[in-house]
Amino acid sequence: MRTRVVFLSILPAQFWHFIELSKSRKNPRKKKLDFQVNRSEMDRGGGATGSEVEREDENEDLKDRFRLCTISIAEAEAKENGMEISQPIMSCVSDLAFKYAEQLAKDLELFSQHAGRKSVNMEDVILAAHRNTQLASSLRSFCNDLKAKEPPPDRKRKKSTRKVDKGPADVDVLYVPDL
Amino acid sequence: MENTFDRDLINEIFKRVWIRRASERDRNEIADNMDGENTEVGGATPKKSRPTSANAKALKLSCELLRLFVTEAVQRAAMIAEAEGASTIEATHLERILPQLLLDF
Repeated sequence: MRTRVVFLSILPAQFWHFIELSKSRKNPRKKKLDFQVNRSEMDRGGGATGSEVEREDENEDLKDRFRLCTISIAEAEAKENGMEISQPIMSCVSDLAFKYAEQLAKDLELFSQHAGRKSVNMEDVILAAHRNTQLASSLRSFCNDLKAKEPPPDRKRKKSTRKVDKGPADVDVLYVPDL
Repeated sequence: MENTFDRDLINEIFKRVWIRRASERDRNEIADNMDGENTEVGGATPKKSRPTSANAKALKLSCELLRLFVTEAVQRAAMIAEAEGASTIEATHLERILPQLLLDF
């Protein structure tokens, strides 16, 4: 094992680049990106691939932070229901939510572009949830709460009112029975 | 007590997607220009399409939406687990509620 590490460390930089490339081939999405890079490689050179790897690292970092948030939410929710929740389930839920967030980002961008705007609005977020009427109405009431407490720009007060506001929102969380 | 997602984190996730899509658009535009007429747009990269941005309240609302997603997943799974008499939420419980959950969001 040790000899292998030493051996790898003497490898010139080009080899590392190659290893990174071969790693990225395994990832289908990366493959597509590589292909697109190749298309415009004539004026950019191979440097773009390095930035792709960097971006992927950044993505992992974001995913981990997202997972931490999800775990705290899920644990609190499970405790409220008097349940324990196993670790793999939480990371599964977190991955689902992350995918949902990415999809949501795409939707929001399209909605705002359709409205001829460059920035996303609260209306766009509500529109993104329009398929589920209960969800949309719950979001709308949250939105109204946000609007109502707009005047005081004080952060502390915002937070405390939010706690109060969220109480009823939790109660009317929708449950559609499994048929 | 009340947990929700970090607004900055959600903003970063959204921004990543938007930047990626903006650069994709740019790339397609460049490719189109190259296919069509090979004019003066050679070296200079035209940074026309700026990525989308989100205002603070929209981000808060998105956080709430994602929080609802997670709490719904946990609550429904807990319901199934309770019906089965289990005290921890396991993969099978999540499996049961997953289809309807994904349809609802």
